[in-house]
Amino acid sequence: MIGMEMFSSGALLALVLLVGARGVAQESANDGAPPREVERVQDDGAPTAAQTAAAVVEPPAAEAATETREAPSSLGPRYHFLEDRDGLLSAWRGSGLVEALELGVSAGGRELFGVQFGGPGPIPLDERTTILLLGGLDGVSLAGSEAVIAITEALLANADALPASATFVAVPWANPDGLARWRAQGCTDGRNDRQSDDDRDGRVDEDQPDDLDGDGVVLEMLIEDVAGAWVRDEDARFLRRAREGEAPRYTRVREGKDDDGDGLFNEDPVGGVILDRNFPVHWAGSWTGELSGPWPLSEPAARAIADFARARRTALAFVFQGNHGRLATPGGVPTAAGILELPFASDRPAYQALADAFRRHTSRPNTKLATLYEVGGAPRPGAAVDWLYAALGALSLEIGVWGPDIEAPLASKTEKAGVRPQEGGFGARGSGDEPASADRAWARWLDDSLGGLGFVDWQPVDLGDGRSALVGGWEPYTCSNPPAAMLPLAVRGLDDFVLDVARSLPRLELEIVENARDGRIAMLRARVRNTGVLPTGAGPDGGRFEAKLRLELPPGVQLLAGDETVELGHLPGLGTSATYDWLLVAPTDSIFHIIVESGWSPPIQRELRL
Amino acid sequence: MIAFALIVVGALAQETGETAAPPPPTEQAERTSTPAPTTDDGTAPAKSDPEEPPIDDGGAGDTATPPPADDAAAAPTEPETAASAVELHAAVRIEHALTLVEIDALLDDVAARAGAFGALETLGSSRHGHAIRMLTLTAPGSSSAEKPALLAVGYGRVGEDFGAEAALAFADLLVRNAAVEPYASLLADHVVFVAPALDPDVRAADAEATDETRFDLNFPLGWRPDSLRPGSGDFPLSEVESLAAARFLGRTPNLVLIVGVGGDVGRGAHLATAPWPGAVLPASDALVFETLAGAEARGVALHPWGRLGSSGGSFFDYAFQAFGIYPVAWGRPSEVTSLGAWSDEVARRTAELLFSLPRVRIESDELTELAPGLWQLDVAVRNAGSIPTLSALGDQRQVPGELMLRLDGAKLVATARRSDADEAYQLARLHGADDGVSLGGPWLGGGETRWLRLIVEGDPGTRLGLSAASARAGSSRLERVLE
Repeated sequence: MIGMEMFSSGALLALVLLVGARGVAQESANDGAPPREVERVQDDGAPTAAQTAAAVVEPPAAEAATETREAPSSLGPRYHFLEDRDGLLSAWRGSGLVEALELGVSAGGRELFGVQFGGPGPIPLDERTTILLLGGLDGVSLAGSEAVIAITEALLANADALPASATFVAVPWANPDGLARWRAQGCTDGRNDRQSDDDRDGRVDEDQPDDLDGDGVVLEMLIEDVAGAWVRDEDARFLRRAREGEAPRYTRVREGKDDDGDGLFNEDPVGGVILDRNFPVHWAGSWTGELSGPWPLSEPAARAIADFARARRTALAFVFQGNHGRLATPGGVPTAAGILELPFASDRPAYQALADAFRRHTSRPNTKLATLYEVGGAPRPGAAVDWLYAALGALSLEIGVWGPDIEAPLASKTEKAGVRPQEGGFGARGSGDEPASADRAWARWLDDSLGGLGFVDWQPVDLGDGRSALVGGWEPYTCSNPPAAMLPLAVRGLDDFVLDVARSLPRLELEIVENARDGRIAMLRARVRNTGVLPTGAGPDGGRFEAKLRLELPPGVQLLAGDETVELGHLPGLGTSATYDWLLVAPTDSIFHIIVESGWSPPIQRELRL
Repeated sequence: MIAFALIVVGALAQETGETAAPPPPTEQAERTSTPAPTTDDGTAPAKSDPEEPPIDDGGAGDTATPPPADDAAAAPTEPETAASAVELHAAVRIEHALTLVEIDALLDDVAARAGAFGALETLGSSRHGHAIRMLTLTAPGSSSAEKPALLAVGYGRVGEDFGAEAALAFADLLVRNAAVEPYASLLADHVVFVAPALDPDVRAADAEATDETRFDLNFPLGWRPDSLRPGSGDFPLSEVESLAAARFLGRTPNLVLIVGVGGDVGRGAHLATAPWPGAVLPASDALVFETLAGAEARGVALHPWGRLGSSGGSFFDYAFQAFGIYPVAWGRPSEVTSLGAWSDEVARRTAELLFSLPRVRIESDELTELAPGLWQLDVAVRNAGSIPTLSALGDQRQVPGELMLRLDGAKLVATARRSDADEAYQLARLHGADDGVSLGGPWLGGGETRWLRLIVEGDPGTRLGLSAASARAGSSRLERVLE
């Protein structure tokens, strides 16, 4: 189990973080989230050409920055990166339970590192029910990577408690390109290394953010623009939508100069595809402005994850990413014509069971179920969680490792402030006239936990040609990813949650209710019981997701009544199927095999001599 | 749904002061009666005698020779009259549904007879090792990537998909007439792709070679997981065949039209009234589709994409929704016994569709010397086809296809535009260092003309050139000597 280290003094924490703060890259308020929908979408929801072409709000980054930006390791917990894989693997192998996986490489040639392990038992790992743990698929959430590592370590330290029927598959850096870039630059939008002509000017990756003010970090930049969408709020940390008649107005971009001279700033940085837009369900083509790739699963890392999940009995898929601090179910796109409504109503009890377990183990204040769209406040087409659920029938969740409410229950505070926690995490669309409630929640957290440190005030910079701008914003390792010292807090209880859910997986038992013979006529009666808390499957009914009961007839046996194969649908947790009868003409001492199969579990078989 | 896609490459005439529009084709009812290809042993069909003269059935009464060149400028380009001038010399008459072996043999035969006009390529290999083959037809000596293109495809089962049969008959028709106008000009200015079996496994004789995932449900736009739509696969383009087809679409920005076979035999009530929920069909593109279908209001019905009843995930869906390529489909033959006549008609009428493809033309109205070294040139930029130079959806998808104009040989000082011949020139601008000429929009509608007034500086005797180019409408060039 992971011991929780709580800092008793916010001032002490603030001091600790102050020492490390200047050694870390800075991040913007959009850090960790895809470009804000609020900045690219006009009121009717459709992006205007000007909005699409003008301000691409991406967290600031500087390609030239190469220094490591995490907190110094000598101060306690630290972030791990791909170069730590050998050390981690070596340590984990000491348990005798871990196998390394060969999943492939990313677009940038980085290894997609993963391991699998499970409790001792006779069933090979490849054949067991699989629980997939993906860290940082968004290419931003280093905290997600740490969560997967911490969970793996904790589970291996508690191997006796691991179920023998399940395999845990841990992929800490599911988007190694994006995470590496975030580490180097402090803040990015999580795109991978695929070269892309984002501004369709015939050149690739030619206009990247720059450190204009020479402070070693790349933040946000506000350019005064009479047609700009933003004005500064009374609280200088916030921006809000401009109301009619207000001025000065700003366009919001990442810090940098117009490298390609097209009047746009940093609109074509290095890299191209956000992996969590590259999955097939509700995939939106690049013409919508999404960094979704030329087609679904075009990216090697996304395809590798998909192929692996398809090849296994993937029952649970947890994607650790985001800074909303909550659970998010499938449903990245709001329901409309042609859009699947996810999750299906039949699976809501299962998801509620997961939410209840999450609350028990993490003590987080807001574990009310919400969809990906609801927690983020913006559509998330092509999300992995949606595809893992709708295509593979896995109970999939996004788990926001970090969030403004993580440190302590803030329900009372938020209620007093009039904040509605269910509005979601950072990057959520605000009401329009006010900064998003999440922004305010983060500001309060910074004030309370870091003594107000973590935001760089807006300072003027010269853009040349008589133009100036303001540079500032949130520092890295504040909102998108926690300070390293707070990692234990962020991952608190996640290992218990995963173990609890793994132990709640369905367990199928075949019950022979009756078997009898009258001369050459034999009768069998059986039913299937699910002794696990979770159902035997999820997703749409029918097809390979269903549980099935199958009677194998030996030679010389004739079936007079009943079906050789019975489709059981999804058996609910702690549920029992109907009873099924078979009437047969069978010689004495005929041996029958009755098999129960489900998408999540290896088949169980019982032999019966009649 | 069987798709018989004909890739029609829009014919673009290159002008140097005189139009050279191909004359409209004449109709011809009968063809050489070459025996139908064998089936059981897969032997290649007997090749027709290349010296055999075209057969005139006498009944049609139309000459097989094109009109004189000096009449070409006046020749109309409407599909109806275009059909009457085509001389059809199809050597292949397909009387039965073809196996994959027969398709390959026929393709080889047509390619061999095409000579320098044809090139066979393989888009990939199917899951069970069959080559995914494509024949490209165009006149040699110029880049096929710069010519508007049409694709003819089939991808279904024997006896269900007659796209292969019609595609091969069409290919043969073109090859036979490659040296005869108007096809000589068409092949000079266009590319025709013929892919009779994009999913060869289902076409193969052995039924067990088929896969659970269906080719025509495995494309990204409108796709649903297999759990919700059996046969669509766990993810789009999961099949090597569909991926190969998708890659082909992605690397062929000059594709204008895909013609397939599908939908009901006749017109009307059984067809869908609208595409699947979530599909995008701009009003202007819907009009193009209906115009194409309505223009063919005789014989075999031609169905527009939006009325083919796809629920999403089809090859046609992807072609239109992702790339703005117009897919249409001929109705299936009512009976297999009428296959020969049906494929003849479809091949011939698909050839007529070629004349609907966009073709950008620049025509000069007047050159006036305003002052010593200062000239005014009025030109008309016209789309001679009935299909736009870029679909509205293609424009939304930002696919290549914008109509670009460039001036050379003189300094561009100013331009003005008008959309109607009776209007005054407006929207004037000074160009400074910018030599790009704008039409005021990225594409021209079917039959649309826009007029430009160019003010240029140049010495007398200078040869001025104005070029127009578009990925989907070819190119045109006007040259004038400043005098």
